[in-house]
Amino acid sequence: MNRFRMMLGLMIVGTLALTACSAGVTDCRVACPKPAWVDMPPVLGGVGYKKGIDPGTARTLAEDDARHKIAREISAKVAGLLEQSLQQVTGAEGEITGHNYAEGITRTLHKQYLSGSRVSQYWEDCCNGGYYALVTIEKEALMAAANDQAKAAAKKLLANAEAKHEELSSKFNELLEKEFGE
Amino acid sequence: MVERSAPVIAALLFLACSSAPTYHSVAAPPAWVSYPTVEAGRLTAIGIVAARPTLETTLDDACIAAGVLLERSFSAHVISISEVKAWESGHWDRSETVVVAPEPGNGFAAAKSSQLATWRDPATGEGYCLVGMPVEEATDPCLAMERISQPPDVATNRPPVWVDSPPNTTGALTAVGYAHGSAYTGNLLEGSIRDAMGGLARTLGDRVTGVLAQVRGKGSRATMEERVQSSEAWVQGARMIAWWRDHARGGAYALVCMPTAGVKLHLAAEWTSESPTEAATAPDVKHEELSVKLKTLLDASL
Repeated sequence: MNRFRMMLGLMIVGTLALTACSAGVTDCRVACPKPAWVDMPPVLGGVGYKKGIDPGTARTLAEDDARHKIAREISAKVAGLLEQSLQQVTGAEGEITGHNYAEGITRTLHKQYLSGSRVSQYWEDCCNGGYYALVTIEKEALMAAANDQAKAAAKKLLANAEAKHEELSSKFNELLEKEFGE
Repeated sequence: MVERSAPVIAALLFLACSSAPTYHSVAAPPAWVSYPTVEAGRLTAIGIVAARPTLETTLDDACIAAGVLLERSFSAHVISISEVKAWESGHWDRSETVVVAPEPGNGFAAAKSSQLATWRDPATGEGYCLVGMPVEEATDPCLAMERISQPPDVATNRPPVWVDSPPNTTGALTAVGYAHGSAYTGNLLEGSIRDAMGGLARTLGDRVTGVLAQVRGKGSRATMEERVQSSEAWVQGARMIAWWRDHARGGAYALVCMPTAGVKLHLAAEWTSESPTEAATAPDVKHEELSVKLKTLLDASL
């Protein structure tokens, strides 16, 4: 009888403890559902990620990561569009992708000045403590950044062909508008 | 013995597990502590200091602290730098922001500002002071932020919406900053505003330089990535719209808003010699220059 009571007591303790504790533990995927932009950033935007430090630094570095991705994207797009424009204007083929192949080393360098990019959303993944930041940029600001970079690259490419600058610029803008236009 | 104590243990376990933490202050702070009054034509700032020997000195010091923040709010030089290096076996990163008023300590804000309200937290003894100064602004786009000024939910410690979704208003830029790691509320306030001003500077202009290198050997491949991002801007008229203490993590968030009209006027004077095109062509030089400046300012502030 005593053993039965003891077993019953332990079962009640166990059940109550389990009920109380399980109420506080919810599935992290339910508690903080992943926003759609984490996997599908908008065309004029980038998503950055950082994990493992305090929320302030993690949010800032996630934000910087997102800006870096936008900058990289612009650099790649500009290089591609500029090559196309150059071919159409001069008929020449130029290597302006920023890649440098030498002695088994592939080096990609990109430099970009971004003005007007702003943080639209932050999201903390409570399953792993990582932070995501969505940075967006207005179309005008993106076009301006792309144009600035293209001008700098065109200066080097067409050092001896001043007359072609205007034509190249117009062709580049036409392609850029097609790429990012409505 | 076990069956006697079982109900007690069960009750204790139930209470321990089911009770969610609550964050109550002995006396509810006035609304301006979290949401400083925003009205057109007036720039406001809050100062918070730890308890001093007397109530008078506590509140006086809080107003001095508020004056310093008001001065930075009126006009400040902001430098923000972050660096990331990542390779196969690890990574290293840092992020720093420095905010300096044009001539710190010159008493400019003190001369122009007036004390609007004071409060002493009876639970902690900390002193709070709200100061303001008139500015020439016909309209203030940051006023639209009032709609987000719902009182924080102290019972659940749930963050206000703006913490994760900085509001977007025509004619103004916004940024959210975070600070933690200090027992002093005043330090958290100052740190979160500084972090948010760094965010404003990055929105105004961010120089990004990145290098991705892949080294291929016999049957192996190694990747290394390095990037530096830096911003330098004169931020003018940036005011804190809302502030929220995350008691669960011991940190604080600040939402800062800056009308772009005022900034454009100021930038026209400060940035004419340096167009984005020029900056983009020589970002390495700028990064190094800024890094040196940042180090000097950090050394001076320590």
